[in-house]
Amino acid sequence: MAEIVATGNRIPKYSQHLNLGWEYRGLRLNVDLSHREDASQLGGGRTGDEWVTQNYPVSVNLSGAYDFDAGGWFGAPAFLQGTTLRFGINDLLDHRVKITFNGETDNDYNQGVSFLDYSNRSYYVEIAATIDGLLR
Amino acid sequence: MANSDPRPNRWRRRFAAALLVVGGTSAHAEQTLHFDLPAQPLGESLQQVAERFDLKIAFYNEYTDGLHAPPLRGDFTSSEAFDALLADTPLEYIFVVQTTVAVRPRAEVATTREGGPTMNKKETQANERRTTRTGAVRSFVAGLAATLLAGPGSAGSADDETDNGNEDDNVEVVIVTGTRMKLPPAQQINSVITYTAEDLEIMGVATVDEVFRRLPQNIFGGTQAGGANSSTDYSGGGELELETFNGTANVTGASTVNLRGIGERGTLILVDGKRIGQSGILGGFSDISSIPMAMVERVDILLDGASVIYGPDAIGGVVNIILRKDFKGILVRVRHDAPAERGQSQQTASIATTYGWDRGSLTGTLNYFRTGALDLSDSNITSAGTYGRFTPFGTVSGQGWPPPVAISALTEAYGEPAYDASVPANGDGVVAVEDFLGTANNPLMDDNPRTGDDLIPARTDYNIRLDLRQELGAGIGLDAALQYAPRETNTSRHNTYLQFSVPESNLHNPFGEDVLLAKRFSEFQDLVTRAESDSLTVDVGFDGELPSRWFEGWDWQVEGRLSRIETQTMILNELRRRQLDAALEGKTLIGENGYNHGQWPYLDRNDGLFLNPFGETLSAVNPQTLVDELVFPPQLNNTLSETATINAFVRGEVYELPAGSIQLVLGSERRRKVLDFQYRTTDTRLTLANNGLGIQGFRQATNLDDQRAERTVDAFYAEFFVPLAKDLPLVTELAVTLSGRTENADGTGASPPAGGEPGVEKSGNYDYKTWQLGASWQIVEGLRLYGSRHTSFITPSLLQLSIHVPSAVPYSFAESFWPSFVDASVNPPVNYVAEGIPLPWILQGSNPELKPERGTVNSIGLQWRPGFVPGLEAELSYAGSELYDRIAVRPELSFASFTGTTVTAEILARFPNSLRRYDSGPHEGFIRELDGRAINIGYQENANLDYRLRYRVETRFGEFSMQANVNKVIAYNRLDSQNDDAGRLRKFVGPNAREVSACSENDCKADCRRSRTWDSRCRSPSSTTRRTVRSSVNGTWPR
Repeated sequence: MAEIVATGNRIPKYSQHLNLGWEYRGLRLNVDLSHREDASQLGGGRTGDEWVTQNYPVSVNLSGAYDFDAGGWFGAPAFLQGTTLRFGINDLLDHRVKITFNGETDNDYNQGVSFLDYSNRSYYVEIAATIDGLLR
Repeated sequence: MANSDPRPNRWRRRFAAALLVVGGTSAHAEQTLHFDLPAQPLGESLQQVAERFDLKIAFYNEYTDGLHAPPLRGDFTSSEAFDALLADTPLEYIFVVQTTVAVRPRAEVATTREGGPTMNKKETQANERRTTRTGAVRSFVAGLAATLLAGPGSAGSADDETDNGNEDDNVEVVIVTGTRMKLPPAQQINSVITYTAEDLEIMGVATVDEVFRRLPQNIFGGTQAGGANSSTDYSGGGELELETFNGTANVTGASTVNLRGIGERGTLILVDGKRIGQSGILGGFSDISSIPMAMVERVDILLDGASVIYGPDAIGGVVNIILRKDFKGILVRVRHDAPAERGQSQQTASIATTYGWDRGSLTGTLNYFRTGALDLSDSNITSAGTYGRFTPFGTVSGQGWPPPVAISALTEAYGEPAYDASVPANGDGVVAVEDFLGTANNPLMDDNPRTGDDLIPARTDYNIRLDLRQELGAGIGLDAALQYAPRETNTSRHNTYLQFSVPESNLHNPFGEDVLLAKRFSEFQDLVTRAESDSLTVDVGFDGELPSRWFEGWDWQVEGRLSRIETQTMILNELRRRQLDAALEGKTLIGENGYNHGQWPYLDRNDGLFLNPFGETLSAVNPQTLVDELVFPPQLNNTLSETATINAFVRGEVYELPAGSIQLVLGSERRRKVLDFQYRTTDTRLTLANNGLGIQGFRQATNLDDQRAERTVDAFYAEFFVPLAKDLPLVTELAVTLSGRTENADGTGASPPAGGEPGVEKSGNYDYKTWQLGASWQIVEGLRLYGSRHTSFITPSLLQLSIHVPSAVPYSFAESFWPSFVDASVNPPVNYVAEGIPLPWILQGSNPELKPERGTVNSIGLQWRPGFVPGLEAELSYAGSELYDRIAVRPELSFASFTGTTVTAEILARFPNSLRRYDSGPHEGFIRELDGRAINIGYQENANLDYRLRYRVETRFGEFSMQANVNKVIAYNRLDSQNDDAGRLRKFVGPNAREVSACSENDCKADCRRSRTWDSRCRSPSSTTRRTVRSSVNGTWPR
């Protein structure tokens, strides 16, 4: 879902992304983690003498899918043949926001001095179906 | 078409997938054996059958995933057994050689093209080279199986068994992002991250731009889906951040990518290997948010510069989004995203199918996407007052802006606390006239978002696409695509403000003197900024072979794309006008439509006596005239951006070396960009004099019709691939690539006025050459070292070059802000106002003299795919770049810096070249202009380490997978000036810059560390730029 990032005077440090998955008999579960850290200058522009680390919360996302074709867990009716159900939660921990204010704008180097990293928890469900044989 | 060919992605995917190989050493495939296998996963049955017949079998897990084999009971030959197992599956098998079976997807669309009995070897090869899914898979499987299973030296024996007769060729026909040559992944010189459709699915994302939010190499998240963000990003780039309309940023809801933090213009975005059109109300960036997820087959992210291959803008990297063009049956995808809090509910729907015939296929997709707006009030955090600091203009505010503070006079009048949100109190709750004046004098102040504002606009997208593939005969194929993608966004936003003077006599003036007031009429209905864009893309491409008599094995491609994006942005203000009209008549509007954010509780007692000056002065003017002509005239923006590209190249082998063939690509490209820009706005402020409504302010109207800029670029390029060694100790393969490109640009455009009317002149011309040298060294099987060094560049956008926004403004534009202008460059300083000298103009914005920003990129990587851990891939890579001539406004010369005489004096002292004086006349010698336009001044560098790991393993408990991607920034600086006052090139200059001659080397270094001042004196002869920057930056970060 939404993420808004105001950049301002930031210097990136590192960021990372990890996805772990397991699939068995047509059922797939994944955990998706992303995280980053920046540094920002306090005091506005290059005249500032202090830096503050922007350690953003980890974004945790869960996703799953079940392929009815595989039929490994329970029998599926014929009309679900070729169907995959996907579901998940994005931003499980609802990290939503990390705001840091960098103080005043003391010169024009630094017009965007406040940061906000925003996202919120959301749930999704998706159905993907392949209807075969009509056009061939 | 090089990168639109669907083969590469399949091949890459298959390379990435785990290869399952089982087999014995002798074959008795013709025997009949007895089986009693239960129903079980297909992969297991295939393995067991192969083992019984002592056959080697090759297939990919992704083929058999989710498929189950029926019970196999009875006596079967090998063929009968495989037939039985694969009967109800989309798979088939072939005997690659007598002892080896490969399992592959069945022939689908292009079955008839694969070649019947009458096809000769040449025809088959020609078909293989084109979009032959089955052929590609078959040849790949056959070639790979033969190579991997039969072992070195036996590949030749497999030749005659395959349709195309040369498995090596087929294995190597891999075209990836970053080159136009046909190289296997093991010979790439760049680091490429590939997200397959499956990868995207397991990330759980709904849109393409969400993928890039999780991409570590996309610095700052980089994708801003709309709404408020910071304005000028001095970290480099920031086209999206310029996307403001009526003070609201990015109203088209666009997203783009900012690899390495170099800026959006430093990342080249391709779709199917070709540039896409420029989006936005300024036509300045490539929007990825309009690409439906269901259409994405894979995303390649090249973490390296590639201007030699693709032309400008590829410094930070290249994103190549490959669209899916074959669907089995009819695919229907429907998705709903529901937020935990309010706002931003999303719905996605796609339907797609492919219809195939003898010599071609047609794929059609229809996509729909809708997202609700994200309003400030939709979540607790954004509705909090502190969010007001997250503003387009970075201004400081407390509880939103302005913070509601109690006005004692109102409180006394009404007998209860009354608030006026117009008067800031610096957060301490005490109203002081200084507080008020300090903010009221800043016309930008009141543009802060507040409750009721959309941070992200509501958006509705449609996307209709047709893809045609047709064999034309004589070995020539046609690829064509037509895409139409309309979008509509609506951004609801608080009203604009009026600025007026409130006399001391006003009962509700708490200051005891006349004050200037900037006031927003929050009681009115929000205005809506609507952006509508229509995107049309037409692709046509042909490919074929050169005459074999002279060019055996050479092929050619010609591909073109026309992209046309028209964006219209407007403000819907009819309701607002009506309400203003009512306000002028002293009517009470509070509560209408239930619209009350609680900030104006006293308005329901509108008696014309509060701090709204309209109440008691209404009769002084005709309010309708005021409304119609001055206050809220329509604001309209039209942008038409056209991008046309034609690219043609030939490629083939030119000379056979012991280690392989030298490959050559020769090509030419013509690009043409047009930006047609209309902008109409009126910035009006009212000034209310003492007790009387008099319009004493100024009105600055901008009407720019048919501002048009265009640029045509001709380019020539060549790529050489030279295999140097093979099959030596510690040199399994060693090859180098050498590439070069020359570009010549010819542009015209409306130049910014120098105190006059805009004219048309040449702009954006350049003649630029780039080169690239790379190497790939496969040390042993599975371990490979690669690297490259090359030059890249970013061309100025047409807006930066030629379009008259913003404009030159007279210094008197804000005379009230600047009571005097003092020329401090003369002695004694001259006060222009006092001397009656015309105030100078300030030149701002576009500059036709801008040249490309240039950079050098170095990269090196180590890739490890250990044979003893199937499915594991590990990669460590480094990429560092140095960029010069980055385009920026010198901070000292920006608009805001002109707002005080002190700064002005500093400017005059530091940048004498920015002044233009009268040559003659009564004002000879006095300053006529201050040039604050963007110039090629910036220096920027960064260095990154990337660690990536992929692992996939199948166990009896299922398949486990892992993908890890870490980006560590080891050096990065924001955009800094590369020139000192005297025009000498240096690395850094700023307000804190030391006089470089004033310190010894050691002292200077210490100064550098303390002040983060980077210039040439701050380096020891042996130190590198990156070391300096690293110590400067890391040393000051809190641990």
